Amino acid sequence: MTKPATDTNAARADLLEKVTGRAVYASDISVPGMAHGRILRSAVPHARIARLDDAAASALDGVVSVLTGEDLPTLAHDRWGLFLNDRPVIAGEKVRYVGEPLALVVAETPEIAEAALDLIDVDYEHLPFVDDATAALAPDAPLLHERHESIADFYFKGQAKPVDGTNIFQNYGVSTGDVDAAERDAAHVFEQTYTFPGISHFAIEPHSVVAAFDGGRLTVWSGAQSPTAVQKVLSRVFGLALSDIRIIVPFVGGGFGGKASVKIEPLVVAAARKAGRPVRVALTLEESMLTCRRLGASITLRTSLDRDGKILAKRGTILLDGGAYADTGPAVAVKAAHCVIGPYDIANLEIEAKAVYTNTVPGAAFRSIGGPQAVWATESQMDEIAEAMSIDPVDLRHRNLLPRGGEILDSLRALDADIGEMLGQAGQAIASLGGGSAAGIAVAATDPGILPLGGSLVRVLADGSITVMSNSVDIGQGVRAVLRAVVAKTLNQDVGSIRVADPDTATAPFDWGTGASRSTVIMGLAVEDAAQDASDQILELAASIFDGAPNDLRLVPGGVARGEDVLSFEDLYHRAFGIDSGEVVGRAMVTPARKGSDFAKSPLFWETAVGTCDVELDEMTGELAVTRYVGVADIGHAINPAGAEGQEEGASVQGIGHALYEQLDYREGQPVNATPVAYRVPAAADVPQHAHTVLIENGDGPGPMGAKGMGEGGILPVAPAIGNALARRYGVRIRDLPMTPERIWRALRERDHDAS
Amino acid sequence: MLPRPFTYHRPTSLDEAVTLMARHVDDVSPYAGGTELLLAMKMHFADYEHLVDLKRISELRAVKRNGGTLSIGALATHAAIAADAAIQGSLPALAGLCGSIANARVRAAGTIGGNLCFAEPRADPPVLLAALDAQLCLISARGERHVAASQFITGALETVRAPDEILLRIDIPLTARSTRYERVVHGHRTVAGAAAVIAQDAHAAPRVWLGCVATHPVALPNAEAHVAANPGVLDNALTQAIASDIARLDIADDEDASADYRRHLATTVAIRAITATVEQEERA
Repeated sequence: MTKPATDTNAARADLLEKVTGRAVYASDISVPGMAHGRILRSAVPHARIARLDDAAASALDGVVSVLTGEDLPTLAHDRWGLFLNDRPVIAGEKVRYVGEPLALVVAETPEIAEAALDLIDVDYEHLPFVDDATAALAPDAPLLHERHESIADFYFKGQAKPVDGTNIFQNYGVSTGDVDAAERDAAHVFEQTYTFPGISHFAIEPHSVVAAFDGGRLTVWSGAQSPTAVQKVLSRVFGLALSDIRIIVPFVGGGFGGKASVKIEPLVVAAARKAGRPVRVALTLEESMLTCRRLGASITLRTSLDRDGKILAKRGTILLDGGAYADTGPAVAVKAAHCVIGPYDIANLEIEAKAVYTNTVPGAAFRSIGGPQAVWATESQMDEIAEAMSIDPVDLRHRNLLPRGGEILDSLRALDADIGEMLGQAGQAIASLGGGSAAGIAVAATDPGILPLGGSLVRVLADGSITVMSNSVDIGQGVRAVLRAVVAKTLNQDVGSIRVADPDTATAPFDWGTGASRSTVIMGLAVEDAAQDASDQILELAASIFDGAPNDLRLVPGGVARGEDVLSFEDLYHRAFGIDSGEVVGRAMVTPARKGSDFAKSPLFWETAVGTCDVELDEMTGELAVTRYVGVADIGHAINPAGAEGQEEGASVQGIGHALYEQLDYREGQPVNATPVAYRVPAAADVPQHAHTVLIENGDGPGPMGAKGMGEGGILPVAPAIGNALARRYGVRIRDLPMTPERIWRALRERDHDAS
Repeated sequence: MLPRPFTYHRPTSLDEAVTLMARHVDDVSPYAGGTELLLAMKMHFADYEHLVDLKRISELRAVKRNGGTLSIGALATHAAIAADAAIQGSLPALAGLCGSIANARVRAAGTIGGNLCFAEPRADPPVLLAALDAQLCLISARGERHVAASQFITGALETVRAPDEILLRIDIPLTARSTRYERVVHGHRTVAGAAAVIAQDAHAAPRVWLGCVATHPVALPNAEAHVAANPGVLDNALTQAIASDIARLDIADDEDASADYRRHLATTVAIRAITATVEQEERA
């Protein structure tokens, strides 16, 4: 009875709920009186709205109301944003991308709402548009936003630096040492440009929101990754107190960042407010593809080395395609600038990252923001340098890697992993899969932008069952299982007795959001502290009953023990409170000043990854297959080992999609493949036949049990590892993602032409 | 999006289905697996007042072998064809192709007849069925008629099926000695597919068909003539014969492939299909 059941796989109660169809998602929510909304979207990339006539739609039987730009003046604030106040709740004077919401029809049924969309007449006054980031920088480029309103410390620390009179909404630089002098001294200087396209999140559950007003109080059910960010933005837009806004998040069918910060919630709430009815809007997957995407990038690197292959200096010019609204793009630019340095010892750096508006789907956070773009460039170039200097690519990395404790930038925390050791482990692991040594390798280190601010309540109920209240969202990554495991260990209780409630801002404390690989560390510590607080209270209660010191007592599954004497929670509460009911509430708020933690310097931990692979190419058709893949991550401690491996492997497979097929394609301002029919993400058959994950666990992370955050890093090295394998095995170098069969075929023809 | 409103009919007999098709001839579509039709209706690419669901008519699913002919009911699903012992034994190339189309959900619901009648330019089965010289049996209130698979599809999403006709079955003569279908698939779609069929009768002409490249499957006459004149020979002249056939085709750049790359892939799959039949001959 004193040994609790701590099987961490059993902690994933959600899996059975999901495979049996019982798990509730936002689109399953139904509230009395609920009406249904459908969205009319812009058909053109950039235009003034000369006329929008919704009279016929409003008159259709069953239509409740139609929200349009004319309703903007009724809002406390008609625009919102996280870094820049740039996004109208619904298009007002103009539209800035194909797919931008123009009108939202609320009707008794989704069918009526959709039929009404056909009855809305829109006259566009077309404006010149720009669907390419380089073109958006031109002096005569059409401006998407006439002025910029940057907001500081709103939900992200710091602020974006837009440039007036241009499409630039973020301009971030890193400068150390003297790059000019280092380039003069260098034996070799290499300059290459690499490109990375906009990529769809493609979560299987599209964005869904139900919004219901009850007098002046608002309840919103949303598949949101950042419930408290949604709460804050809604409070601003609708002039409501935070305490009058309740955000509830049921299970989420995949997020990847596409449901982070705020997405369609202000729009749906505005429609519910106008309709005077609860409103449900469940987007289709096509519509979600028009809601957000990863930022595309063009990255030029100029890297200088001495004759021994030691990097002396690096210049990086990063241009990010941020789409029509900034969203979290400014943070993406900062991360890309840091990540493009690589985990290398480079004394002289000039890195510049710009993010620009274009008339395309808004860019947004996506698994390891800015990272895959930067690592694609950096690690592809490392291999190009190695080849040109006739140095083994692994050796070139060893010559330049920072040791554990080395500093990528003075302003950032020292590196907390041994990437050289990870390289060794990767090499051994892939060789053990058979087929000889790996063909391609890439390494990465990224600094997750974690704000250490999040709280939780751990409620120990009279029957010994425990409720954990937290705003960390289970987006499929299994955070609830991790929290259950942490509480089970701290309170020495069976994992089966612990339930993690749905995130709900009315009942759970503030948490900054589910992203940046932060929940295991920040919410893990919050529930650990809250559980410890509950434990302290329980032992104190028990001490008075046992008439002893709390130190003589210990928690056992279901109660408290002194020596062989066990008192159940029920008996304890009965004797302490006079009835056999009641509860003990442990509470905790993790803040930058948390005792025992060193949160002064960013990042709280480095997310590190090594990827290595082999490939097979059909040289006639250009079709490339990844035959073996090994990922290595230093995650400190795996609280749920199967879950951690799943996260790493999921990231690898998503990275294969980025590497080989995915690209949100635009022609003349129109998205040409933003449908599930035309767009391809990896399926089960695309997973390499031989895949393996190595988790390094030294218990040296800042989270519970020495855990670091994880789940994003695995995506970083995939594309360059594949590109490097292709170059090494077949002699063709691709610098533009995705590495489609046609691109590879053209490169093969060029190779053969050059050879003849 | 939602499909526009339509009237759904679910006949339980062929007679009833034929009557419904005749009655609503102005705006009707037969509905089989729905894997393409319903998607097109949801995207508003297709729009019908009436759908006649054929799934309750079990005789349309039958697979039979009558002497030298294999008859496959139009409502046989790709999965059923892939798993059918008679087809595996007599036409492994067709069973294999149907077992690898799209994904498991499409194979479980999608039918061979629906695939033919929808005439999606990137569909594989029409290419192989044309090369096998399959005959299609159609029925309407006016009676039955037969059309060669090679004549059935006339363009992208276009066939000779009259609006009130239902495809009943596909009759395939089992006269081939070796048959091969080769294709290149990018993502969800085939970007080039070629079928080569060598007849048991040494005097019968070999058939080489190409599909998923232009708007509909086409024969490669120069390639056929070269194979007929030089059986078993895989040489540069064969490649040139194929390339000369493909040069005559109208191939445009599209989202899956540029025209020059697609011509290269078309040549590649045709060579691979012919090469495989030669290897089958050598093994035999």
